[in-house]
Amino acid sequence: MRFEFIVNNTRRSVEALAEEPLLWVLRDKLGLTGTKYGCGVGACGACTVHVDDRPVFSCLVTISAVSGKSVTTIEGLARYGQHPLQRAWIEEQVPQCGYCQSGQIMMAADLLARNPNPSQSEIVAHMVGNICRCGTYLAIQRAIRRAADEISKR
Amino acid sequence: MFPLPSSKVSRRSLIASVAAAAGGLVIGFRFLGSDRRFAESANGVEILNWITIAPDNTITIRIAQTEMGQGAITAMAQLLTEELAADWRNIRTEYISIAKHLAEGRVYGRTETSASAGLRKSENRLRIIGAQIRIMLIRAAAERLGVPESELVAEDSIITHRLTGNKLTYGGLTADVAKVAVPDAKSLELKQPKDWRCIGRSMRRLDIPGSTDGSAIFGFDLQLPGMKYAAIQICPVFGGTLKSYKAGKALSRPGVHQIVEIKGGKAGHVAGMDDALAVIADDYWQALQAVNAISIEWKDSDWVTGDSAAILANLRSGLSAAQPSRILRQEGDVETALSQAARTLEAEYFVPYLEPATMEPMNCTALVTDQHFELWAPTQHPEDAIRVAARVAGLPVKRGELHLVRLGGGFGRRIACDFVSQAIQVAKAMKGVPVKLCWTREDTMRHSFYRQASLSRFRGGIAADGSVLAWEHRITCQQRKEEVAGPFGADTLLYSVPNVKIDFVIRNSFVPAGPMRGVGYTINCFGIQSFIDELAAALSMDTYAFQRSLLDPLTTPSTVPTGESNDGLNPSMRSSRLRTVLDEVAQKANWDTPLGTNRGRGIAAHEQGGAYYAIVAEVTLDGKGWFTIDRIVVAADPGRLANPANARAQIEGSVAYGLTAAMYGEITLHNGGVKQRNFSDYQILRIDEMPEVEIHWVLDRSVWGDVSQSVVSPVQPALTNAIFNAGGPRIRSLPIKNHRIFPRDAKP
Repeated sequence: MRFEFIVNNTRRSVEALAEEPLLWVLRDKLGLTGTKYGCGVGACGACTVHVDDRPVFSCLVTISAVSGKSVTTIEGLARYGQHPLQRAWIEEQVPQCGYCQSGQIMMAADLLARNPNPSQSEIVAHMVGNICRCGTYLAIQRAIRRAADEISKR
Repeated sequence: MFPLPSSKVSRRSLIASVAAAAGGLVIGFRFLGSDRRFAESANGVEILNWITIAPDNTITIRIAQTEMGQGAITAMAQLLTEELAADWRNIRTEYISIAKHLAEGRVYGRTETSASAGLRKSENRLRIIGAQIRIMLIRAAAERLGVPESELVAEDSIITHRLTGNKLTYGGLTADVAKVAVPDAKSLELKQPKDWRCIGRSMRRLDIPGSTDGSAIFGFDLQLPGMKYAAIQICPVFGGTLKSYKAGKALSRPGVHQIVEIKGGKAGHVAGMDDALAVIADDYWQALQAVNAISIEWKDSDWVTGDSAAILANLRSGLSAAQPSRILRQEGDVETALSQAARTLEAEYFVPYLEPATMEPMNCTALVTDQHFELWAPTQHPEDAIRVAARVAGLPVKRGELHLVRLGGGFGRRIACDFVSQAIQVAKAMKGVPVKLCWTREDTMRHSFYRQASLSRFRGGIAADGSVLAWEHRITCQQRKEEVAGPFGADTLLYSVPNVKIDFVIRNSFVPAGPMRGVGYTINCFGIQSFIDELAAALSMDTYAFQRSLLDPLTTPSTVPTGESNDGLNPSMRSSRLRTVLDEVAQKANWDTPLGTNRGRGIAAHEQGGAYYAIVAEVTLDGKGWFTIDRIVVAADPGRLANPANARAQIEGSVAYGLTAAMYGEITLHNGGVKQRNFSDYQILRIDEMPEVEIHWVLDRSVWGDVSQSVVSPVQPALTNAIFNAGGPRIRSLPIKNHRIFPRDAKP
């Protein structure tokens, strides 16, 4: 079946089975490999994207469910990769292996879009669905704080 | 010192034959030119195999260690850049060519990335190469300008003639460098550490930006022209074999091409790998749906009745074995000392199997033709990988190339080459087409090489005056063939105890074992540092003061084995080092300041990989069966730091890794296979449980000691000791989640 949806502000059309998870459509059909597969069951958050400005685990969402909707992936988060979070991630040198970080940044972007000046506990509560095996959790918190501070100064 | 390889075989003929054999396809295969020292490459002129210099002065450094988040790429580049006197802002990196490495007598030295030994084992080579190239550039400039070398200074990729101010860029000198002889490595004077401008600085990691914008390509992400995808079903019982299968509708599903039988065991050329069935399709989800739709019949191995209870019973039988497999250390007479002791204490400690659980599941991409093979593998052991690939492909190693790709975590798991063998077997079924084999999380969890389970029995004898007379530690554990001396860290005890017996009884099992971050120390440190705590508690002594009293450099036995200690320190000096970090952490953690009710501190000290660490954990029991970790304080004596910011990240990461293992990590066996399937039943520490980590550095040695994995071990007993000292139970078996953490004196 053919499905149409918007990905990173561009209208896309794919041929897929209705039950194919959005994750695999993005990665293998559209070549957007920034969104990662970590578990396939919504337990790790590596596949986090935005659908109509809400964060979702793309391994749990089918292509048919996003038909007609707007999807944002890490590749489309900001022009030239310059979202304040992406800058903060580099300033704080957050990533270690880097595999979980697309999901982390997408989840953090949703937090700051809703709550530009989150408290420490709000940051932690929002990010709890994203696992990092390298243990970058403290650096993630520092970077979110840094990005929030930058945004609040604007 | 590493002598540069001299080529007895004509290099021209060697390269010509490799290029011909490769059939001209090989994506990324570099034609290296006729002179082994200097060659044109896509990025400029290659010099001494290790760097290329482009006309625009960009320098590309080749990296021989695999990046898995530990900062290897950047650290290796820093080592070479320092002596090269290159401008860090114009440094790029790329991985070495494994084919070239092997064709030229392992010209790049160490390629396996493990044991936190990258800096230690590569430092000399990289600094020498950098210095040689710098000198050659200076000599080339001297020749070009007609001035003495002594009037030239090289800095930031530019050579300046001091007297006239004339400048030449490195990029402009590459043609001239070809005419300069390579300086003898023995004649070089390397920079003094006090003059370092690059090594020891917190340079930003060169590979980080790619993981903030989705552009980084991990093995799992690779997409090549014409590539197909493969998914797999692996035999659910260890040691079982493929008997038969019914494809059913699998092959008629859209995009599905082929079913491939995968051989494990000897035919797969990787020990511990089992038979499997794969499906090749146009994309991964199609392949996965298809392989899951196949009805497979496996022939069970004898291990089908194996489970955790049987494994534990087997380990326990080792505790009472009359003869150990190996005596690791013996001094004095432990039996007599125990019988004469005023008090004896005995305890058993257990750690379960653990799966390293990299964030990126296993994967490998391969291309096989009748003439050559090529693979793209996230591997920690490139030489093993290309050799396994060659054997499985039935081709000579020199007919192949391995492209290193980013690893989404290694943690020891990607040293094994099972996924390489499988990928080549799949690719052989579709020759000429690159195929990317990916595993699911379930595959990765259930078909790993596990950190071994182990049971330990400790016995301690205490004299009337409170001194420790005897220490006995028997370890039962499965042996991995790579571990020559048995599980790590048990015999290198630095405590002043006159009667010691440490032995090891091998009790093998059907579970494939392999290295995990922290390696064998993660097996023994938990029990050792907990039993020290138990002895202190039995004496009603403060646990820090008690351990400190045992770390007395004046009475440290001279017979303590060297282990991995690499600083040339004798046992007294080592115990002095350990005591120093113990004191440092106690002081920085305000050890003597009382905490409130249901709060406590635990302490642990550890020597590993030439480094010394002491940890204090602070916890609060919540009174409902669990606890929070308020903070972790680390005193670190790792010797030299190539990149301080990265070292801090590695220690924070090791804390998270160790806490996950202590609190939640458990692989159980059932019906001959692993029970756990995903993160839902193999729980990982999350951001809301991560404590603050304070690190206090003791930096006055010049060894490159471990920063990437040593903290994984001691943070675990520091935590369980803290739980006990907060009034909770004494935990003698991990994970902590299997216990109910209530205050000992709580009313029922």
